[in-house]
Amino acid sequence: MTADRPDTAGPRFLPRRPEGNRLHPITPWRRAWAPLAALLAFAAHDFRQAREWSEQLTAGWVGLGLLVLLPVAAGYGFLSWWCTSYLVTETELRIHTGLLFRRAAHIRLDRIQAVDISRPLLARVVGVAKLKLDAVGTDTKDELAYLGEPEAVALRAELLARAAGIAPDAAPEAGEAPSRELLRVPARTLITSVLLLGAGWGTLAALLAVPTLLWLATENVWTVLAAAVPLAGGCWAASAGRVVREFDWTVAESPDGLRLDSGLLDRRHATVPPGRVQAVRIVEPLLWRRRGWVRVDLEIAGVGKDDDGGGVLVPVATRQDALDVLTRALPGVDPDAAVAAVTPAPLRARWCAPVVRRGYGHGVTPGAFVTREGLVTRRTTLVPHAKVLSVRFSQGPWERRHGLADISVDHGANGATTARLRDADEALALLEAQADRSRTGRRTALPDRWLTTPERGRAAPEHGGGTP
Amino acid sequence: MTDPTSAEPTGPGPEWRGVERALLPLRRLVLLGWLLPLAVALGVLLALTAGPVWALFALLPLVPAGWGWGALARNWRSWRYAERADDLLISHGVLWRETTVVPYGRMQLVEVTSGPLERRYGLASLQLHTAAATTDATIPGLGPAEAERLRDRLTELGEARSAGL
Repeated sequence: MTADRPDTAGPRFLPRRPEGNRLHPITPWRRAWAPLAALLAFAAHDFRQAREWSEQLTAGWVGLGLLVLLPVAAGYGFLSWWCTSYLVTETELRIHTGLLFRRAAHIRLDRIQAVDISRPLLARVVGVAKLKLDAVGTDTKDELAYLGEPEAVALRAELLARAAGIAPDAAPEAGEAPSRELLRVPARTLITSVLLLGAGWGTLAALLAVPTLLWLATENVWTVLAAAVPLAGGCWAASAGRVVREFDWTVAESPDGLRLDSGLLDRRHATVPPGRVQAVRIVEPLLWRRRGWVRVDLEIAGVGKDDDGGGVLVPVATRQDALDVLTRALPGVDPDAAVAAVTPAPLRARWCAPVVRRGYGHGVTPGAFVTREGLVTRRTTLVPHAKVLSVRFSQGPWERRHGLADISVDHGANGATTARLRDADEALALLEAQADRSRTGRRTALPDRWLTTPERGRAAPEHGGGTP
Repeated sequence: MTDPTSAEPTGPGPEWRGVERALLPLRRLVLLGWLLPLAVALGVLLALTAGPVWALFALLPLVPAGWGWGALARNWRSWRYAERADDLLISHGVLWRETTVVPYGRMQLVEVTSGPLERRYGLASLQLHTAAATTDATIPGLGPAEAERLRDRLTELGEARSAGL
């Protein structure tokens, strides 16, 4: 920040530009929408007053307002674009943003969990893309919007190559790693699977019933609308929205990790580096089981559960196909053995949980800690031993009377999974054994920079973290 | 390494340590600090509005206070922790028992805190953070010297056995 570099110095009346690469010049036009959106939000928030104002408006006032607003919005957009830059160094990705409140994010490359490229519909038309980064320990995703499409693809390849530990000089030329398709979900299967889910039908029934009842009760249009709009949104998200989002879901394997591509209108491209998956959940809704279909969810450190589409590995596939993909996502874990290892909770657990007991199950394989729960929607969770952060044994008075206890393991994706209602002696033995297992599991796990050899892998993080 | 279940690095059993006795009067003080003013306020309010006989109802908060007096003693005795070769064990609870195992290599941060009341009783508590927010491993009621010793030892062991996510 001290040296006056020629490429960072603009005309004198502009603020100092942070060093690094710029975003695509289309970006200001997106940014220009922010003040207008704020105005619209204000109008929607204070509806009555906004209408009063709009009645007093004349064409002159509107013109004057636009004359003032548009340059301000354009100026804001331009300046915020001017002040945004990114730079890839040996160990970090540096993102500088902010006009008034400057923010400099330095993301360590070996802490990057996944890099997504998303192309919203409008951006696809213009030929730009958005790059999203997941790193350990950050709540919000850092994103670079917008980059030119080839630039975004190249940047993703470079980030992943550097994170994987390819020699830094070779990284920019390493290019997009080749990929091999593992699984593609046919449109027919996807639509059938969504139709077989209870959630869509439930919200549809609510959408039909609630506004009708409200209309009969109040005969007030606004009340009915206030109830119907969120319900319609939920209904959309659970049915058609889901099909649009998960359309043409493709899983491919490449040295960077698993590539997930999806979307009908907005194409999303996510890359999950191997060995960063903290836990995996195999979900089997009731009506899918006869067809042998499952969904597979991933838990990755730094990825929120409610991110749109975040955390899905396979939206729907036959059990065997899904487990095959799972083998690639969880190196060192045999999913078939894990599912087979599950044993149900003991019969006397019915005194603690009369009906749901039948859903509870738990098992341990050399690779993973497995729990199962749920009667209608059966969820089987696999946590690799190497990812277990802590183990907890808990027992309430009623459970103790029946000689039962719960065992929970915490993993790095801010989550925990609990094997409920196990035999107390078995649970105590598990507590001991699980701590040992996760210790040995960690020793044999892949290094953080997964393309380096194990010897270098141990040395690389210290080297990378020490020299800026 | 071939059969992890039979690995027994710690010997016959872990060496458990309890927490400081001063934690008990501290917790009892907090208990009475809540319930006695409540009883007095209730008594005054009832005596003024409903009559002195009704004021006897103000004795009700004293029932949980009496029960809590004993329960706190049992709870204090249940708190214990053990440092093993590779992990820390924390166990507590009388009715709801809980035992947590945190491997040293997984600790991100070790925190020693001491509020004004704790300081008066010469106590500090130690909190362990891993990358999972659900890991809630806290040891209350340590002597300041023991808390610092434990913090330094855990940090040292954590560095030696550190592992990525």
